[in-house]
Amino acid sequence: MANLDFQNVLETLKTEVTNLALSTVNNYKSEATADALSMLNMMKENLSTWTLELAEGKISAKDFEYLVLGQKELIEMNALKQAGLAMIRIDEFKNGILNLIVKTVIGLI
Amino acid sequence: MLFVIFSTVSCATISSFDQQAYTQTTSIKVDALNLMDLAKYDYATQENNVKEYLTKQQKIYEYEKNRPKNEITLKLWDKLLDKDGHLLGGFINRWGKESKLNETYIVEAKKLVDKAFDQISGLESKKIKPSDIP
Repeated sequence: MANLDFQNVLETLKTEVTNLALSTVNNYKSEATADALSMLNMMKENLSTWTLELAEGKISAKDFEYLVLGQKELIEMNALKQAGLAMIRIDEFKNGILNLIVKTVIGLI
Repeated sequence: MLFVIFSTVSCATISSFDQQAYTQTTSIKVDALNLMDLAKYDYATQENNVKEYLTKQQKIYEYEKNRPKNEITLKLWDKLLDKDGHLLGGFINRWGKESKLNETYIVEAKKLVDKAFDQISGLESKKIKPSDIP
C-alpha cells in the first residue's frame, strides 16, 4: 500500500469540506427565502380577496375566520417543511463529506 | 478512525425519498379537492363518498406512520387532517356539522388545501433518493 500523507489528506479535506458547507448553506438560504416570500405573497393576495368577498357578502364571517386560520396553519406547515428541508440538507452535506473523504483518500494514494 | 467517521456521518437525519409515498400524496390530493367540491351538497347525500375518501386517506396515513425517521412528514399530515383545525380535516368536520357549505368558501378553502398538500409532496420530492445514499 502506498504511503499516505495524512497531513495532506486533512488539509485537502478541510478546504473541500469548507467549500461544501458554504455552498450547502447558500443554496438552502436562497431556496428557503424564495419559498417564504412566495408564501407571504399568497397570504397577501388571499387576505385581500377574502376581505372583499366578506364585504360583498359572498362569504360569511365564519367562512372568513376559517380561511384566515387555515392560512395560519398552512404557514405552520410551510415552517415544518422548511425544517424538513434543512434536515435533508444536513443529510446531503453528510453524504457529501463521505464522498469527499473517499475521493480525496483514493486520489492521494 | 475512518470507520468512526463513516458510521457517524452516514446515519440519516430524515427518511429518504419514497416513490410510493409521493404518488399516493399527489393522487389523494386530487381526490380530496374533488371531495371538497361536493360540500355544496347535503353532507347526508355524500356520506358514502366521504367515507370512501377517508378510508383511502387512512391507508396513506398508516403507510407514512410506519416509515422510519418520518416525523416531519407525519406532523404535516397531522396539521392537514386535524378535525379541530381549518384545513382539510376541519373542512370535512364543518361540512358534517353544517350540512352544506358556501360555494365561494369552498373555492377559497380548496386553494389552501391544495397548497397544504404541496407542502407534503414538496418535502417528499426533495428527500434524498436511496440510490444517492453512499
